[in-house]
Amino acid sequence: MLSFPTPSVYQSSKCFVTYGVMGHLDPNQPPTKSKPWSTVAGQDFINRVELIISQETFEVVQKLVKERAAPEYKRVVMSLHDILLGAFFAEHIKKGDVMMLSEGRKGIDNVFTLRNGMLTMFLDKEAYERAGLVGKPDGVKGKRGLKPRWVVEIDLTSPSMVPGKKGFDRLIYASKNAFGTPVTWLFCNLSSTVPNPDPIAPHAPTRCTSEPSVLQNIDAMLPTLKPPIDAIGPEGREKLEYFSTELYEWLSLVRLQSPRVQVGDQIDPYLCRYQVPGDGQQGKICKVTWQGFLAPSWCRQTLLDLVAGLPSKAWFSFSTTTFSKGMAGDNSQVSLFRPQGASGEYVMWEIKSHE
Amino acid sequence: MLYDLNIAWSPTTLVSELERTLKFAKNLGYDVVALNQTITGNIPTQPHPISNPIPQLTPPHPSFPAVPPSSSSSSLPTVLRRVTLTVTDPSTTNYRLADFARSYDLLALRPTNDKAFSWACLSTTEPPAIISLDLTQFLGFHIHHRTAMAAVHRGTRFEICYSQAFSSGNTVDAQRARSNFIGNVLGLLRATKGRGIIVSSEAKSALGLRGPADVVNLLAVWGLGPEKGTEALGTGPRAVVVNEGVKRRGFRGVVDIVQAAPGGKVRSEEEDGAEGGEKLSKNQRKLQQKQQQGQKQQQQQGQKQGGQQGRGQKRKSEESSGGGTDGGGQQKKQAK
Repeated sequence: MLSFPTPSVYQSSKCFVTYGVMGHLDPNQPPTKSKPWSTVAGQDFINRVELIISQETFEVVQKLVKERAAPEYKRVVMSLHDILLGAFFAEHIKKGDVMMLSEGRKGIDNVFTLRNGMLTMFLDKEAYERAGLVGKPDGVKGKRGLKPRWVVEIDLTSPSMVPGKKGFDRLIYASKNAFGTPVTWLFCNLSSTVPNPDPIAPHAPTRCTSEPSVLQNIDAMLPTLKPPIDAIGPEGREKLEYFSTELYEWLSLVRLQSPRVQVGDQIDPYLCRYQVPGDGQQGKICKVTWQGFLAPSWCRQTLLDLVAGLPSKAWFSFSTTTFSKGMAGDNSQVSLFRPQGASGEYVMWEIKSHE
Repeated sequence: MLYDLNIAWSPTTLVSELERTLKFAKNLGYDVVALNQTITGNIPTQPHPISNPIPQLTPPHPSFPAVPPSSSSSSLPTVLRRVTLTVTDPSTTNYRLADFARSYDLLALRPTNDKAFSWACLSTTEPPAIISLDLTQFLGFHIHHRTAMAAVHRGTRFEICYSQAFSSGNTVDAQRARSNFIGNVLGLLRATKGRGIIVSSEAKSALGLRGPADVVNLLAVWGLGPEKGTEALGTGPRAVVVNEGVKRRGFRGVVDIVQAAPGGKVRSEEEDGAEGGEKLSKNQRKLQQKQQQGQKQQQQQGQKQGGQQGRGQKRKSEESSGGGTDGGGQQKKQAK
């Protein structure tokens, strides 16, 4: 086999494992800056959230889930030009807090994202030159003859982004000429108030709700749900690696609803040699899934409520998956697992690609 | 935008099969696709002009006028029409190339021996858009770096059709075809060092198509680095398509009609034709260096597309007597 040429931006995703202790949770002052909360909130647009718990603790979760409002999002067809004009801009962007993602594959099509007031445009060379805005090269740097893609970032909440100012007018001009075609967006209003009349209404958005879907009573073989005692420190690194890899594999198989983790699974070992690690315990587990256009702040809040609401000895696993990027469709994930019997500890896996 | 510039078509292809293949291609992510008709053997002197038998299933690509493009979310990709001429004896084909180029959107050559290959690379009157070799055959000649790079500098691109590697079965022929394919791809990549390569399927049905990430991975095994592979699926074929459109629409890529002013005489505006950077610039330079100089700046800017779409993009272009005898031809394009 010929070796891959280096250096390259084309790198496979990496998984970072953290085994730590959650701080004391004060319900009045929810933690934001420490891990794991900052990691969960630091992702961009979340596509799927999955919760895996044992059947006994499901009753608590059911109540929690029913009391929470299911997150809503809208799908709307607008052009970038419409977003930057009029009531939409004034209400949602300047005053409110919204999150928007346009259709397309990053790295191939032109994708626009709006988050925390920051408009980011991932453009190819032609669109960038037509727009005439200032941006940074995106991707492989310094290769002669390769046409780079460009990233343009504009902070729309800054005071200089007002109709009438030069920078903003340049942006409006660019959006009218280069980005005038309507594209499909996912829109999520993060603030608690909705302006009345809603400026998105003229564009006929489709309202979608991410109702949680529940899969109950999965009869499964359980692995050891507690990390080994000496997995801390530099000597325990190998043990932690084995434990976390096996546990993550088991959690992924449960998320995929694979028959391999079910009790009584008889698969020919020629086809699959997977065996659930541990001593063969069995139990019933449940999987709750939210799918849609979810905000990382909502995910963090849900996680906080879960940690506060579940019995402290129970184990659970909480995973968030973002939207896929690029040609290969990689996405980033954050999975968190609270071991059984250890209420303050957690194991966290972050899967990130190079971007 | 991902391109697949070779989907095999013949007059016996059923429209239903073709639609299935095109839908699958769109599903996999290829936005622009070219239906390819291969013509082997002697090319008859008649008919003249040549009619293009490939059906036009979708509105034409904006580079190839005259209808504005459909929205991006239709279920079929934009379809171009292409012809591949299998050439064994260059002397009989040379004079017909211009006719084929006029009736089809893209012209490709498939030389089968050394003489035809060096003719295709170096001494055709107009460089073909694509040189696509049948990589499952034993070529019988080495592809030399100098010949290949001369062709690339003239503006031709070499094509690797990945479905040629998928000959199924364990017959000796199939095995030999696969090993020939690998050997020829290695030779082609060694000669060109990955530059000037475009990748397409030569899919006869939907089964011959593969997803773009898989194609990039497969070619990375055989030596075409992942960035070059992505470029060979995206920006490389795009340059081919746009440049071919420019050649057919404008006068030597310098003069073209962007937008007809309503209710009056047609006003032709200058614009810089060369998208795709060096390719057309070198081509044009060869033509126009004989007459004038100073074409170099325009090539790095400027896109050709969207000419007929009436987007109303303001372009400040200085009038110059394009194609004339003096040293004009400097255009500046600004999006402001």
